[in-house]
Amino acid sequence: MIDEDPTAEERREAEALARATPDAPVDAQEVAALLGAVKAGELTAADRAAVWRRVQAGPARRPRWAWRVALAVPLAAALAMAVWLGRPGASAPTPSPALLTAQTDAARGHAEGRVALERQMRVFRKGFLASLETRYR
Amino acid sequence: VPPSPQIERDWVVRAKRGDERVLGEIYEAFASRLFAQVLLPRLGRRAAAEEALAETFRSALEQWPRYEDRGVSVYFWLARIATSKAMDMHREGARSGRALMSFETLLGPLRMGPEDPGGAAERADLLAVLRARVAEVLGKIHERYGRALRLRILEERTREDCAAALEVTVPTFDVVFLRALRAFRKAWEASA
Repeated sequence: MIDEDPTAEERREAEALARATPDAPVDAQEVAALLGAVKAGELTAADRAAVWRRVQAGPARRPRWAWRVALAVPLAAALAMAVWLGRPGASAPTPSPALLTAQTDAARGHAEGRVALERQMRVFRKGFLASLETRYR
Repeated sequence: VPPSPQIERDWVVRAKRGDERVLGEIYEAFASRLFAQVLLPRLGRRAAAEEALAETFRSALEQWPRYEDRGVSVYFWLARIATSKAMDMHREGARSGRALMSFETLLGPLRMGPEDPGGAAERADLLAVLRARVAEVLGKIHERYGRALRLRILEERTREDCAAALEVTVPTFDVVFLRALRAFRKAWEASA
């Protein structure tokens, strides 16, 4: 086996593995991961302390523009819905200040913000579905 | 040494009182084991396992006030969170085209897993066991294959360096490396 000429398929697999392309053979990649992990070794006290500092620092901060995007997308959707439903008998609820605040907090990575956002979105969805029901009933 | 049930009960009591230092103590007690036994085998790469460990404890910090003592080690709870974080990272890796590679399937009978918070984990450190098994299996495969694996993975040499050391072209080294990984797998599974 060691001196055998490689088949075309084997050459293709070897190249995919070398280039780490998505079609690289999984059986070989698993062995490489195992050997790499053994090489990487255990978590030392210094590594542990470094990871703990990351825990305490909180989630990685999003780019400054991220919260604007997070805010703009649902607002634009709400606005589009409001326009679409803005015919007699249809109305979409206006996002409440509490919802907007929760979106901002969630976009900044605050845990309480995510919880509050879920709560506020439930309220918003309820109002939104009610307005649709009124319009199309 | 894993914490005693009494220490774990004390953590829960202190947490209910709002003592925020508790999770730091839990981290010290279980971080290394979660890393070696849950995260590294599932994620393959050290950096990914460290990030997942941080994510696990960030979630634990948020969820800890609602933690309910079910009479089993806190380790079970943390291992569940860690497993979920590892799955999230696999999904994220697949989305971004930077797939992570688990080697869990290779652990087989060595697996100590999150299901054993104290027993097997105390008996032996998974990485130490793996290291010994890897050395043993490297000794069983063809010397040239063993050399290719040592050069490329354990010594982290470039493909060009490895090819030069084995006196072959780079494409030929790639084939030798692939065969070496498969030979290792075969020997590993045969000796399991």
